Amino acid sequence: MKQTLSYADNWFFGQTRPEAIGLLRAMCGFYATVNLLLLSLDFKNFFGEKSFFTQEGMTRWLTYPANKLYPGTSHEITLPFSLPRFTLIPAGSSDAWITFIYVVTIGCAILFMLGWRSRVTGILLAIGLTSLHLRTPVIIHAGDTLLRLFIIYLALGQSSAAYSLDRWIEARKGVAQRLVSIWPQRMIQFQIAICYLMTAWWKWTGSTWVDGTATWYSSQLHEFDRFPAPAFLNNQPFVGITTYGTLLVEVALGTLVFYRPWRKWVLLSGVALHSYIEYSFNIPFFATTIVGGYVAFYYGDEVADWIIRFRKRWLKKGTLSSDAAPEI
Amino acid sequence: MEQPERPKWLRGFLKAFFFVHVFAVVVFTMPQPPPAVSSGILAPRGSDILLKFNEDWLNPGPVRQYMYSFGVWQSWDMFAPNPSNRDVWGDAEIQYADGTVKTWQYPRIKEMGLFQKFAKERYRKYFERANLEQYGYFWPDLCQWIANQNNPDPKNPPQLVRLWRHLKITPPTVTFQEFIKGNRDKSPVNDGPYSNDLLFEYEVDVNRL
Repeated sequence: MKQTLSYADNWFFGQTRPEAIGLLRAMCGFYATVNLLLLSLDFKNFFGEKSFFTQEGMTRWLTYPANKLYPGTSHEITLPFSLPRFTLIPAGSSDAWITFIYVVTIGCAILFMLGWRSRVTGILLAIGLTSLHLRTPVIIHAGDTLLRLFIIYLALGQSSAAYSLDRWIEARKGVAQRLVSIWPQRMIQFQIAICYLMTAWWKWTGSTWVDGTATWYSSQLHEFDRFPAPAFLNNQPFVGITTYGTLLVEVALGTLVFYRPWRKWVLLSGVALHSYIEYSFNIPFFATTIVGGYVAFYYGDEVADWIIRFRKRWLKKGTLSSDAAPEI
Repeated sequence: MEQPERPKWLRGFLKAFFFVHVFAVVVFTMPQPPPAVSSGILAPRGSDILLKFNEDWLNPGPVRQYMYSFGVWQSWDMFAPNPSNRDVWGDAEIQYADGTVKTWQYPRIKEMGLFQKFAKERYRKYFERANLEQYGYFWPDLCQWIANQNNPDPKNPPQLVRLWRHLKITPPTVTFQEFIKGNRDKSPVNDGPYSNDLLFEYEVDVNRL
C-alpha cells in the first residue's frame, strides 16, 4: 500500500526533464501570438466603444452574482464579501486602456513563446487573455478557452527550463539543465482528458449522437464550411460510423490515453479525428491547440529524443543522449 | 540536476490545489440533466441522479465562484447535446436620410476565402447567439454597429436599420438503427430556400455614429 501511494505521489508530483513542458510553452506562446494578431484585424469591432457588443452588453452577459452561493435556489447563501470575475477591463474602460492591455498581452505572448521569465510573462499573459475574453465573451470559442487554460497551467510550472531564452542564458553560464515538477504537465493531461470525456457525456445526453445521425446535422451547417467532404459521408452507414467513431475516440482520449502501451494509438486516433474536422470545418485554433497539447502525455526525455532525432535526420547533427535521464 | 525539496507545507498545498482544481473542473463541465429531471417533473434515474445532484448542490456553490473568479471557466459542449439543425446567416437593410435603402451582408463565412474564414470566424460565433430571440438585447448594439459600418457620407447618415435572419432547418435523415433494419434511403437533398425573418427594426442613434 505504502509503495502504491509512493508511486502515485511520484507520478503526480515527481520531477521530470523539462523538454515537454518547454515545447508546450513555446507552442502555446506561438498560438497566443497569432491569435492576438488576428484579433487586431477587427479590434474596434470586437473591443472598441463602437463594438457590436458594448460594455453594457458585457455587464448584462456577466450577471452571475458575485456574493452568492447557490443563487436562486432554496439553499441560497449570501456571502459577506464578493468574488468578482477578475478582469483588467471593467465596465467603463476607455478604448485607450483596452488597447494598452492588448499591447501588453501580445508582448507577454511573444516573451512567453521565447521563454523569457515565463512565470511572470505567463501570469501576465493569462490575466490579459482573461480580461480580453471577459470584455467580449460572445466571440470566444473553444480554442481560445483551451489556450487560456493551458497558459495558466504552464505559468504555474517552470516552463522556461527548456527551449527558452532563460535556458540559453543559463547554458552560457554553464548551469546544468534541471529537472522540473511534473504536476503542471499532469494538469494539462487531465484538462484534455476531462474535455474529451465531458464532451462525449454531453453528446450522449442528446438524441442524434445516440441514433447515429449527428454528423449529418453538423455537415449541413454551411457557416462552418471549409473544404468539401465526399458526398457519400452524408449517407448511412457512414453517418453512423462517423457519429459513433467520434464518441469512441473521445472516450478513449479521456481514459485509455493514460495507459502507456496504448497512448500512441489513442493519440493518433485523436489526430485523425481532428485532422478530418480541421479539413471540413472552419473552427480555428481548437484542433491545433488540443493536438499540440498531446505533447503533455509524453515525458521530457521522450520529447528530447524527438528533437534530437529530428536534428539528426534533417540537420545532420546531435546524438541520442537522453537515456541517462530518470523517468518518472 | 534535481530541484531542492520544497517545504512540507508547500507540497501539501500544491497537492490539495491539484485535486481540488481537477474536481472543480469536472463539476463545472458536467452535463445538465434532461429538462424534465431538472425541473422536477421526472425523478432522476441512473446517471441523471449524479447530474441532478451536481446541478443542485455542487456546481452552483463555491466551485462556480472559483471557476469564474480565477479565469478557469470553461464548457465542453461542442455539437452537444445535439449539433444544431439551424443553418443561419444574416444581413441588414439600411435606410439613409435621403430615403435610399441599401442591403448589407453581415460577414458570412460560407462566402469567404480560406484566410478570411480563419480570421473572421468570430463573427459567426457571435451571430450564432445574436440570431436567437433570447439574445434580443444584443440587437440594438448590433444595429448601431451596422449603421456605423455603413456611414460613408456624414451628410446622408443611416436612419433606420432592419436586421434580417435567413434560416434553414436541416431535415432528419435515416438513423443508424433504421439502416441496420434494412432502410437504404439516402439522406434528403437539403437545398431548400432560407427563410427571411425580420429580427429587429432600429432607429439609429445619430449621437453614436
